[in-house]
Amino acid sequence: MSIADKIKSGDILTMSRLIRDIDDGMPEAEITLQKLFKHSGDSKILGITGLPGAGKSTLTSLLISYYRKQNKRVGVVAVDPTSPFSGGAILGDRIRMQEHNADSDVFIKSVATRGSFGGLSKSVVDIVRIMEAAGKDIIIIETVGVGQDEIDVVRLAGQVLVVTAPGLGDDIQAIKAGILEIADIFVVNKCDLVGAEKAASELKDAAEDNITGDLKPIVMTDSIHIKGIDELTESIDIGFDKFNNDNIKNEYLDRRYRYEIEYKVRDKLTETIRESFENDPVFKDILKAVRDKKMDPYTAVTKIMKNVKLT
Amino acid sequence: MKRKKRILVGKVGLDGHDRGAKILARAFRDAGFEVVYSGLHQTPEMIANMAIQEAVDGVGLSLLSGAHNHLFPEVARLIKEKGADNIVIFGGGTIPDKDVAFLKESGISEIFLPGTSLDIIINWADNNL
Amino acid sequence: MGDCNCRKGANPCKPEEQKAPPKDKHPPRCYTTVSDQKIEQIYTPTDIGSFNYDEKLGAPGEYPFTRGVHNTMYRGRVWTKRMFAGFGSAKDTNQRYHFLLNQGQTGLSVAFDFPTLMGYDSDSPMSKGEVGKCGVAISSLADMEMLFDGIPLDKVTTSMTINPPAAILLAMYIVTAEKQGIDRNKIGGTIQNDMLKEFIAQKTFMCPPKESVRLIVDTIEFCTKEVPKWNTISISGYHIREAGSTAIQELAFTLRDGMEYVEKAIERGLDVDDFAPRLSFFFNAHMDFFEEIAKYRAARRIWAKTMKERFGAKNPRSWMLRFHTQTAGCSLTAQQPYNNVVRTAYQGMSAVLGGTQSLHTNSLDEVLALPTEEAVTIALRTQQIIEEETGVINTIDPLAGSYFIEALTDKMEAEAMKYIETIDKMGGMVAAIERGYPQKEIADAAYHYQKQVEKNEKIVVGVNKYIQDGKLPIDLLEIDPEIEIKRNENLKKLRNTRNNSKLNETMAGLKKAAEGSENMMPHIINAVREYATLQEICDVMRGAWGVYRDPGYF
Repeated sequence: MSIADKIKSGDILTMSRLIRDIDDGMPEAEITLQKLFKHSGDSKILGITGLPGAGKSTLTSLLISYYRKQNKRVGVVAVDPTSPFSGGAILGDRIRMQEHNADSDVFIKSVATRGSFGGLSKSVVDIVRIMEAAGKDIIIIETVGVGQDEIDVVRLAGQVLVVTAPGLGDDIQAIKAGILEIADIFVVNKCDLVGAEKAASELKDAAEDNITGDLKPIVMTDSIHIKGIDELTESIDIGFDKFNNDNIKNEYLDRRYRYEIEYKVRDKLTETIRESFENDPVFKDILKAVRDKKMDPYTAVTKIMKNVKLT
Repeated sequence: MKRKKRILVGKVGLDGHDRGAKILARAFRDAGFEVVYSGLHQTPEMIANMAIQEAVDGVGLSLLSGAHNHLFPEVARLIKEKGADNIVIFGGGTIPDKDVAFLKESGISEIFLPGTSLDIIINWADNNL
Repeated sequence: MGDCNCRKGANPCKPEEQKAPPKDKHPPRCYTTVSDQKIEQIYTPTDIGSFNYDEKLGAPGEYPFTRGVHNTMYRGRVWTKRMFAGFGSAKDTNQRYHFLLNQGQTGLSVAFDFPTLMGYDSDSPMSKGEVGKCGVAISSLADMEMLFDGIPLDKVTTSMTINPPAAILLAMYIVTAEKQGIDRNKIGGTIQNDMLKEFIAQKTFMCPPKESVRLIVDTIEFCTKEVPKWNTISISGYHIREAGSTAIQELAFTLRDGMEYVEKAIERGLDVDDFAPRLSFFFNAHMDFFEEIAKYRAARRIWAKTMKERFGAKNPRSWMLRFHTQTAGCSLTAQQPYNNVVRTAYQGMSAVLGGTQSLHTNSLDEVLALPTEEAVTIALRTQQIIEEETGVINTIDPLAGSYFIEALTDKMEAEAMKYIETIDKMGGMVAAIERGYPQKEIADAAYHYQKQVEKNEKIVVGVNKYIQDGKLPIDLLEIDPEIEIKRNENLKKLRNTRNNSKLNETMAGLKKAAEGSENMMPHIINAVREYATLQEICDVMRGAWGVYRDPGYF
């Protein structure tokens, strides 16, 4: 059986090894990904983001339980930050999903950002593709705890939950407007704590859709004492039901693939330019000219754009 | 292309002593490893599943309850049974000298006794994973 | 490279205070405690300011009890020598108890195996490989009856180190006494029953924090009325310290745990003076001699002030912090194990100078296995030498008035109060635990200390200095692996021979109480009497209250 066939059959060992190869940037992995492409695109993809300490992982675990009760196969990609000092990382999200460790229909993958911004790692798009090809019905992407960055998960996921909780410092003020805008559903977790109502009311402004004026759902949950989960899953189900409308689905797929292609092009371009500065005499000459003040950097950019060898 | 080393620091069994495991996890992170930490009270089956899903190079088990002679070999057996015999397993905790030979025969590559410095463990992992 | 990497905490060393760069691999000596608290070269009257004796110390046995809780201290009553013991089957441990009582020990202390601690029976799949390993395996009343066979429960006091299922073990003890013809108001002892420190440090947990605290308050309420000589909770810093905390963290988190229990019991409607006198504490005796003594003294002072001022307790007995001490297991080394006897002796001495009410001294082999009889005897003799030969018991609180000790006591109090205020602001200890605050503080401190040891900034003799090749052979206690099989057979027999229809009735009552708000204790006692197993009772709680899993805070 080829690697692609093994993955389509849901072989866990093959999946995890291919994901590892992708994460490590092994070039041969791309060939398998090409073969898997036409088997992907049908899973429901749910993004979960929000401030550190809001309880994203615990919430993810409860959502896994919900989908497992319906006998759905679940994939999870949990992203943690890479330490800028050592290049290492502690990947701790799955600790809070441990009750699913013995379930062979739940595949959890922990990845580190490895220098990427936007709350995800470079490999997440491809990991999602593999999980889709392996027949996961729902794929949950948990971003690193963010409040400030632009986040990529919105472009990849069909729906995005933005999770907050009372007592995380400045609460809602800590979340940038950009992140509030991308939410499909707001979750105020740890709602048994003091300040939950206040956090929910502060979200009201952000919850109003700029275009339609509709109010996005704000759900109060308590993932320790398991409250509010039914309401949350109902909102998520309603959200995914909208994809039955072809226009909405196509709009989402356009966004998703455009993001993926743009991301990959940008990534390749960055790499090509970096290599060219090291190896290409033309690039070296340009650099020298700028250093000697014979050329300004603006002219240099135009020249480089003309000389980049797009392969 | 150089691969990033990935490791699972695992707590198997009912033992709740996680001081050593957490110190080790941080030390591996600070040495540039990607570390998955299992959390407490995992069964051997759970540890094996995690090791495979995460495609780690090695599994470091920490145990202070005296149950190592049962639990360590069980983790090794399950990982092998699931086809990932490339994963290197090592362990530490309150393990007396006399149990080391048995554990090594049971699929555990190395046992670190109490008082071993972090440097020794990390160097070993660097060379053997 | 002349800096020592002191904790960037309350009082870090300044680089200019460091000596010249090291010539060998040993960095300059850093004059800090084992918790990396900075110590001055000399202490003078200026370090204690306008010292008011009555306010800061008071006479022994008087508020704020800095000098001790009794006016005669060890002249009136020497500390209880209580050696923690338990291994294998109830029968093995029963024999060890008879041995210890014959050796002059004055109280029993039960160590349970991991399955018992976590609320699983010996025949549960979760128990495989762990039965009898770390302590004695108790799955039903039948085991408890065997454990105390031939030991009259009105003549000894028993301390049981048990947490999530503490109420069940207490119920078994009550029924065992009942069967010996002894009324529950005559028995004395302690259950650890301190779940907050489990979430914080030792990680032996079962149900979520809120529900766990409810069960504890049930036991407090029940014992206040029915088992008046029982210490319903031993609020423990020991495990917090073993998990790697600093001395100040141990002090602060333990006392804040105690405050949480008092708050909840008052919320239940109990009068603080009805239950507070039965609260007791359990601290670690670590390596740093003076820091530990200051810790115990500060603990008594903080508790007295808190009980009086914060909770309005009127009975002086409610203000007193009584405590048990165990020497630090985490300070023992597998290398050159006989050195552990010396470590333990100094630690035991600090506990005595700090005014402990009871003491467990660790055995030299405990870093590798459960102690042998010989090792336990040396540890017990260590305490007897402190008492009988060193003369430290002749006078009360002999270090009082030392500029250093008083300044350090003040500092420990002030730093601990900062932590306590932080936790108050978070909404109390349960809230702090749910956000991982104490857990993270301890993990940071543990990693910091380990790095200091790695860099030889902190010395552990035999480990990073004075290393010796070759190993000193010591005999280790072996636990019979057959015990698991034997116990499985016994449990099977028990389940077939007990009166199961009567049992089911009691279990239904138990379930109803768990789902409602009725006190659990009478129902647990009823179930235990019908030989319900530990796990059967725990499963009812897990079903009603949910299972708590390790959130793995870093």
